[in-house]
Amino acid sequence: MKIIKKGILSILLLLANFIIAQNFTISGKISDQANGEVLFGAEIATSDYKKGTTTNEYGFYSLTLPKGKHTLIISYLGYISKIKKIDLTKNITLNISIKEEINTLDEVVVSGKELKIRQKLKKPQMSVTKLNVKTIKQAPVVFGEVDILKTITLLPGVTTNGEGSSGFNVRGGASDQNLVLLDEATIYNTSHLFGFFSVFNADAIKDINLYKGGIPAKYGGRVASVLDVRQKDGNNKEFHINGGIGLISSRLMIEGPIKKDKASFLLAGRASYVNGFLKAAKKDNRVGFYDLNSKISYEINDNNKLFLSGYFGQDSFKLNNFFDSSYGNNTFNLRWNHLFNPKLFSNLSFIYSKYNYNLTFNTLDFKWDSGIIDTNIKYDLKYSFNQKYKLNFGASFTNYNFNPGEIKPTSETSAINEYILDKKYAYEPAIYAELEHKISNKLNLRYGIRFNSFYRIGKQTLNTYQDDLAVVYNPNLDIYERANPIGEISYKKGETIASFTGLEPRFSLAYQVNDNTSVKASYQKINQYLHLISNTNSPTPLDVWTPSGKYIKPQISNQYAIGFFKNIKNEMYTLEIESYYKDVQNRIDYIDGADLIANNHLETEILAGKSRAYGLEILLRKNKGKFTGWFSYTVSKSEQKITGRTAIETGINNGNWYNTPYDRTHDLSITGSYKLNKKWRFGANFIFQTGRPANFPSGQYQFDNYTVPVFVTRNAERLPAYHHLDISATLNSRKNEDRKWKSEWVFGVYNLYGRKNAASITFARNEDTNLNEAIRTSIFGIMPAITYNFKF
Amino acid sequence: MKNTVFKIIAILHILNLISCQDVVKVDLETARERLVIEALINWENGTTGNEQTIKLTKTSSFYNNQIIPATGANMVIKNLNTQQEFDFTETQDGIYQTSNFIPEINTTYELEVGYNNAVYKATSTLLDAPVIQGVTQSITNGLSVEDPEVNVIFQDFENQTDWYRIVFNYYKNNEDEQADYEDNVFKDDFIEGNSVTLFYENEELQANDRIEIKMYKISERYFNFITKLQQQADTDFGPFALPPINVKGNIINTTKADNYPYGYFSLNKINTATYLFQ
Repeated sequence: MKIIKKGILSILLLLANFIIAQNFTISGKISDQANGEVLFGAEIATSDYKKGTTTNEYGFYSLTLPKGKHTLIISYLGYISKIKKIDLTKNITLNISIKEEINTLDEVVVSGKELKIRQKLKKPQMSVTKLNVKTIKQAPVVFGEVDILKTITLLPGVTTNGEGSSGFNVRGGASDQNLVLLDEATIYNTSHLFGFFSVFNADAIKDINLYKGGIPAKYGGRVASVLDVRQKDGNNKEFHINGGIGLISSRLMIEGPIKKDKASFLLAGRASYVNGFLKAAKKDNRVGFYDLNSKISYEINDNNKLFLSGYFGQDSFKLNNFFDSSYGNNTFNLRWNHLFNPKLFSNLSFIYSKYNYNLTFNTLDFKWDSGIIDTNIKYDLKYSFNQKYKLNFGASFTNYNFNPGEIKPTSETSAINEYILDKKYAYEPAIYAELEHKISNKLNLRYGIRFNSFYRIGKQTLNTYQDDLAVVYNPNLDIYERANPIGEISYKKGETIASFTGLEPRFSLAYQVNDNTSVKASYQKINQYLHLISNTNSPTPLDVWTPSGKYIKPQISNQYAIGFFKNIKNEMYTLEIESYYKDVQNRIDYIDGADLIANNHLETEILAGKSRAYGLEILLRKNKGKFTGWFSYTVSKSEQKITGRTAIETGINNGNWYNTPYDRTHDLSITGSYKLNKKWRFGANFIFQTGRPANFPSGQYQFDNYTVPVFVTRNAERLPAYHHLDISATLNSRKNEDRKWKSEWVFGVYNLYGRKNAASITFARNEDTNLNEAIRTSIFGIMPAITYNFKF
Repeated sequence: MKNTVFKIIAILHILNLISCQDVVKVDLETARERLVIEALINWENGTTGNEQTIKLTKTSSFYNNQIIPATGANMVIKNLNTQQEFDFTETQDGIYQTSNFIPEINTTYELEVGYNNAVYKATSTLLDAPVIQGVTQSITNGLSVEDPEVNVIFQDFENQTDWYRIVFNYYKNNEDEQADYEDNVFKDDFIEGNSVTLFYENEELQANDRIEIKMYKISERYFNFITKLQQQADTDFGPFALPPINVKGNIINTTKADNYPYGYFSLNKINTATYLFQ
């Protein structure tokens, strides 16, 4: 570690030599004029576009220019560009606020050219999708409930398991391979109501960035993607309330200044009332969720700003007095932005995140608790040397505490013994440095390295097995079986059980072919030390996270991507085409009949193999005019292979590649929004996907009262294609213009033509005819929805 | 117990509450035909256990529900301690029987089946059964506080890891025709050494209904096998469904290994209790 620190220092010194005298730095924040929210990714550049930069996630920018007069253009998607003239004779702080272009969609948009997209062409970052909440709110959704996760699945390379399933899959990756961050805190379960809703309340969210590849070195720990969701800071100018009343849930958000222009707060809550809606909610069943987003921002002075934010979400279910269950994420974090000088920005974060799952069996007299807690300290810095070099560097330390499960009797007469699965402990230090390097006006690079390690520590007692094999192969029967332990090793508190290190190079390149065209390429290596133990097609709240250790190795992934980016008709349209190849080592799968629940020795259920995914993604967006939207198409392959560990072992599926459950050959979505007039706006989505891999029986037999279907291959068949069309209409009251209270009605129909999409196809014997038949389970028919939104 | 937890998750799943189901046509391929050997030697406590039956059938296509017997096989079970052999003879198509089997606890037996120019073999040990200490009835126990259930109390073997199987056969009005059947296998994970109550709950239970309870101790491998069978037969649905698997038992084809059979060879002593619901 010391060596690397020295290395960074010498890079710093080396680069310092390049700084030419007679340059001065302009720095500051770019924010929304109306509410003071700082903007992430806003652009500031000289009028010839040759020199420019973008704001970081805290709205901060630093731009070094030669002494003299400059005309700066400040722009941000959906905002009116601003022109500022300056005479640079010393370092200056320039805080800029820009105005959202609200009702200008049908007018000619600002004269200033859309610098935004040009800068984007130059930036080496590829495979990233940025969505603002406004876009998300315009897409029609089921039940009329705005859902960030549903919207990102309309983008290329992102899929879900269909309706009513949790998690999402990026570029053929599993859902536990996504790092989901809410204000930098890890969210371990992204869904409410088993996937019908996401945990993100759009009212409280400012923007989201999804990195599918070329992931910056400051992120690590998950191999497929980073979904970075940022909460609003809260309006520091005026007090506002907004909310909505929908069919399933209602929401309310309050924000306002604590001290004008300096300190603000935000509080947003949602609660569901599904019970009345569920047709089967007879007896004493209930199901519901709530969540609460909160944030306080305080600008101490120009150089220091504090943020305190928290998220508290809970789902609960009750079934016939028999059974109570709840699960939820809780996060809390404190961040401190500090500006050392106009070129060096820093952020220190303290983050706490917890996911827990509880189950109480009232009549069986026992309860079950499981969960994961992580605490993380992180220090991120950005040094903007000059136009040529920017250095991002930092360090992070994460401590993990896993509770795989505790069973406790709830009465003295319970026949259940108290049983506590071994708690697991680990910590993960990481450091990184990454340089943004402008080689010429046309060629931009970003390269860096992330070095991390992972220590699995005691206190824990582990079983030992012959030859360290926790799963043994029985060659006579051709099956994998649990090995019998041959002994135990006890590790003391804090003693290292296993440790891993990972050196992760990251590299991105952008070459601008001409004003409107660029090509990009990237490579990334990422280690993932946590695994979600889940044997089902889509994660369940009960699934436990488990750390790498003596028997489970970290997942290690390489991804290579290339892309082509083009602006058409003066940025009326943008076209993005990307292709990627990704491989993952040590991806786990489970032995036949794996027993994953309340199992203290998961190693006896697991086989490790590898996975790979590759594909081509096309995204064509229309950015301007009355009609906006995008067309997205992905063709891809995602597969997995578990070969035998020795020559006689057959592995899974005879050691051949087989489809992962999230393999989709074709994935197409078309999303459009049409603004008819000030009163009406219409939206539509169309989605088409290859059906998900499934297993169909290829025979049957009778054995001791069982009719047993025969399955030979794995994931070789598919469900029928999945598609639906959704529409929405938003009515803005005319009266809104003259009053403080503004309201809108959103009407929507999900699955307009009533496609019965198969959530699954199962096979069973019809009790009347005594014949076997295939049964399709579909979730949503035509689903109309209405929502009332207000703000004042 | 763990299985219960999983079933609950399936029950609970919100999809059940708002989804709809219909029958669709799906064309299926048929895999190669294989022999199915149901060699379950069950020794009812209190009987001599001399009479035993083994069934041979063949796999069929999924939409064809006819059971195809496998006829003309030779079959013998050998006590590996005494080397004594028990021949099974075919009494009906695919049904092979003996009337001179001698069961011995904790003794290992070998099954050998000659069929279609191939020899199939398996070995297994006859296990003792746990004692059923009592059977009671109640309403408020079980999963639902409203539905009646029959409770079975048994003693877990102490100081060892055990796997059990309990089968409930439900006969309405004490008639001969079986109205319901429930088969549970479990490990003594959380109940080690305890006196344990298991239950059979059915909202239809009423006075004069007969419940027959069969209790087995089984091997870990047989437990795994039954668990997998149940996973296959129990067609759970939706995104939380477990992946289907090719369930292989403990019988191998010694002539041509990849032409493996399905089925299992298990020997068990059984304690049976019969309870008439009041």
